[in-house]
Amino acid sequence: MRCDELRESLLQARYARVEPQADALAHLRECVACRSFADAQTRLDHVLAHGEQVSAGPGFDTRFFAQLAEAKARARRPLRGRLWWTLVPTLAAAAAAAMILWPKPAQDFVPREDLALATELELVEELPVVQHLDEAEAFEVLAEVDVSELEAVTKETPP
Amino acid sequence: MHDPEAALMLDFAGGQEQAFVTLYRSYRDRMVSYCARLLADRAQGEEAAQDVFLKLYRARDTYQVQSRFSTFLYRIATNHCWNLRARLDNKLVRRGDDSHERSAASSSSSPATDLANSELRAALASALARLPDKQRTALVLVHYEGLSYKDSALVLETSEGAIKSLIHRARETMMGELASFVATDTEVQHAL
Repeated sequence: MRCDELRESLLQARYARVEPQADALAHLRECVACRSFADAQTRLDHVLAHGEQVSAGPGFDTRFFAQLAEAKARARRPLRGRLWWTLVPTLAAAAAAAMILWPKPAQDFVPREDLALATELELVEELPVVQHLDEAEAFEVLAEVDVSELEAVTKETPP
Repeated sequence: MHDPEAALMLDFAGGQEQAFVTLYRSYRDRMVSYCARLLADRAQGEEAAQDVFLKLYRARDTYQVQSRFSTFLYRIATNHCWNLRARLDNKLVRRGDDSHERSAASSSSSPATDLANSELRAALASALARLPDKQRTALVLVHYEGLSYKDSALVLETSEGAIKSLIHRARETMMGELASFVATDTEVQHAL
C-alpha cells in the first residue's frame, strides 16, 4: 500500500466508523510519516469537535408556521385577486411617474407679447375715434347702400 | 430501499399534513445547524432553514422517491445556501469590503460560551467560512452531519471519488488554518 492510498483509506475508515484494514495498520507500523499524518488527523478531529452545535432558537417554530400559513393563504387567494394586488402598486407607480414626468403647464397663461398688446388696446379704447366706433360702422354701412335701393324700400314701407 | 422518511413525504403528498410536521420536527435542528455552518452565520442559518422547509412544503406535488429523503432535503438546503452565499458575495464585491468574513468569525461565538473555547470556536468558524463552497459543504455533510460519502455525492450531484478528494483537501486546508490549535496534543489541551 502506498502512502497516499493509506491516507485516503484512513480518512474513509474514520468517516465510515470502521477500523482500518490490516494492510493499512501494517503500513502505519512501518511508516513514520504516515503515523504522523494519522496523529495529526486525530488532533484535527479534536479541534473540529469544538464546532458550535447550533439548534433552532426560541420562536423558530412560531415564525415558521406563521410563514407557512401566509404561503398557504397566498396560494388559496383567487388569481383575479392576486392579479389585482399585483396591479395596484404597478398602477400607483405609473401614476407617480406620470405626475413627475408630465410637462407642467406654463405659469403665465398670457404670453408677454399678448399682454403688451392687450394693454395697448385698452389705451386705444380711450381714443375718441374708438369711442364712436359704432357710429363710424353705421356710417360705413350707409355709405355702401345704393340710394335707389333706399328709395325703393322707403316707398314700399306703409306710412 | 425502505426509507420511512420518504414514505412520510409520500403521505404528505397524499394530503396528510401531519406527515410534514413529523418531518419538520425530525430535521428542524439539523437543518438550522447545517445552514448556519454553510452560511457561517447563525441568524442567516435559521432564516435559510425556514426557507428550506417552505421549499419542502411546496415540493410535495413534484416529489418522487429517487434517493433517500435526507439526501433530497440536504440537496434543497445546499442549493439554497449556495445561492444565498453567492448573492451575499456579489453584494460584498460591489461594496468592496470583507465584513462578511469578519462577521462569520464573530457571530459564531456566543457570549454564553466558555471563554477558553471562544477563541478556538471563532478560529474554526472563520477557517470553515474561508473554504471553497464545495469543500466546506462536503466536510460539513460528512464530518458534522454524518452522511456517507455515497449520500454526500448524491447531495452534491457528484461522484464518491470527488467527495473523497474534497474532504481530503478541506481537511488539509483546515489543518493549515488551525495549525496553532492542531500542533500537538499538549498545545491543544493548552489552547482549550
